[in-house]
Amino acid sequence: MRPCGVMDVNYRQSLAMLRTRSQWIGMGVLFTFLCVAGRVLPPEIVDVMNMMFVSIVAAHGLNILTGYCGQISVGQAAFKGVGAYTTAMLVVRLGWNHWAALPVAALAAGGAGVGFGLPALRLRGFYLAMSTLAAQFILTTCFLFAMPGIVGGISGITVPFASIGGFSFRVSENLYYLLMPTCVIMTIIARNIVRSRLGRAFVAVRDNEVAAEIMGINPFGYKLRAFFIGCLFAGVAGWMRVLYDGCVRPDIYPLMASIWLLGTIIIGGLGTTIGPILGVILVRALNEMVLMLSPFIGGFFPIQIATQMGAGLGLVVMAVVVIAFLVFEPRGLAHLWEVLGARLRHWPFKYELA
Amino acid sequence: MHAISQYVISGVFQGAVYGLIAVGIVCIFKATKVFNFAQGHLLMMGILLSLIFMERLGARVGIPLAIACAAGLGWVLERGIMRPLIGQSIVSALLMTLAVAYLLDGVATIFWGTKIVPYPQWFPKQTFPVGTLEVNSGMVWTMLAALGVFIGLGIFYRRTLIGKAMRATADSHQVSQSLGIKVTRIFSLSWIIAAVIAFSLAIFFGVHVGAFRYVSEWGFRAIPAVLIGGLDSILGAAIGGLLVGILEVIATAYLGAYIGSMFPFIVLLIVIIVRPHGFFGQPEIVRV
Repeated sequence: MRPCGVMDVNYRQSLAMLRTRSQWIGMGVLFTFLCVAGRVLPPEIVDVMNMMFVSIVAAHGLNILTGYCGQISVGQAAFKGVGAYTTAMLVVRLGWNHWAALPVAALAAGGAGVGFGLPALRLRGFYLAMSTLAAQFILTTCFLFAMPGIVGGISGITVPFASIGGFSFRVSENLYYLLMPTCVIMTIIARNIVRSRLGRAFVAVRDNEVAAEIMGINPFGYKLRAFFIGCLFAGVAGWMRVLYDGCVRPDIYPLMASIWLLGTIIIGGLGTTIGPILGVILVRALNEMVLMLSPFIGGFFPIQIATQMGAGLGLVVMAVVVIAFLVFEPRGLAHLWEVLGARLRHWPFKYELA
Repeated sequence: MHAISQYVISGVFQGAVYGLIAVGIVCIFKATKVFNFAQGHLLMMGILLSLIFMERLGARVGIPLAIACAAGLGWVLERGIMRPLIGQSIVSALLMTLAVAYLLDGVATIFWGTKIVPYPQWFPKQTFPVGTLEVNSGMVWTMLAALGVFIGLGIFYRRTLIGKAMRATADSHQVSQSLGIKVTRIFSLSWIIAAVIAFSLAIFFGVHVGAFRYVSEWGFRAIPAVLIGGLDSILGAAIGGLLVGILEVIATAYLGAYIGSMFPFIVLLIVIIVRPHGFFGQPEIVRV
């Protein structure tokens, strides 16, 4: 929502991502922070931020598919796994370097997405979600059982860490300077996709498929494109995850991870670019807080319960937050963010934003 | 021949379990148009709660108490969590059931952890001869319970006034409301029925598998059964469950666990492409 009085007077302004001076200043501050954070902040926090970057890229993909195109996907983690396994197999079995594996991994995940999106020809809405559920189960079963000699079976594949020259991305402070730019670039790409012709067509398909078809948008084609792009992002996230973990295993990409991503974009706000970012930050931060607090809370309970508290409490907190957002703020953190901006602009006057 | 009939019987058992999970999902979907992803988690809660009640109070008090708890749980879930979402998009409702699944998972982990606890054998353990085979009582009782639930539900939906009201609600919320049916009450009732079905499956199924958290996985594995049969058909749930159960067991036996565990989903993909609304479901008509 644009504030009153900010108007575009030429096409360049109208197309610009950052329009006002305060946006430029805010972005400058954020950029400087991101650049120095890897060196200044303590390593544990940098590690959490690395994890956030991976999740943000995957969440952007899911947001394009679910938030913009309206196709619920409960298989995002499996598509992430396709990217990760492609990377691992190319690097370990064929001896490629990590950089060459990135485009192949992304395309492999995107191709898998198109494959499981094909039922979109006859299905709509939530039946299509079932196709992605099938994808989740079929793909994770393949990770676990298919050709153990190549895919790695239950123990997975150990992947060497990436490096450029002598600069190794093994420690999290160095890995930060690989994952952060990737995440920033993918965010810019996501933002540009959704404000292009493609993104507008996605929104039309989401809002009313039949109406979109009457207006000359081919829903099937655009749904497949949404699947391809969403899973492409998942593939990139999978590639990042391999660099982060240094291995691939079937249990890194379970159904619960897919559902976790869906919850994240709900909390952040479906159909906004800032939503997945805010959602991932909030959920990861909550998760870390639960992990920090659970020994403390566990102290009040008998020892055999205390050990289960950590895992269970994380799930409960996540569920309660998602439920609270769905009931009280279905538009997510992104909407709260806008309300906050409007409040600040009009301060000290009240100006209700719908 | 011996092997085949063995597979068919364990397939029918697995099918009965899938069918009972599926029919819970169908009951909720018929009335509220919400697909309940948490049905397997209701089953898990059923097993864990009835385990506690039975250990403390014995089977005779514990089982009715667990069923009463199920009705309460179903009502609380509908009234407290699903009701505020009426009128919102189908995506939010779906995600809400996933959040419920997460919540129940978390609660179960906090109180029970991830270990397997033996479930009390509350009915006599014996084997029944079927032809040349011997089938243990847990399987037989589960299959009979499934049969009972299906016949009971069939009679309930066809013969009783409230069952007819529920079918009317499934047809059109607006029309049934204008005819004096309390739609919100029907919603609550269908959640209660689904929870009770899940808990009654739990007390039989628990004996067979033991009490542990990952029983909830069965809820997701029953989804092919729901969709193959058709989302709004009780008969479809029964037949879909049987079909998926038998196919899965036979595929596992002859093609290995690798193909077997994903076989229902491959069948699901084929069926929803060929017949998007399953074999017994009603196609929906979309207007602008």
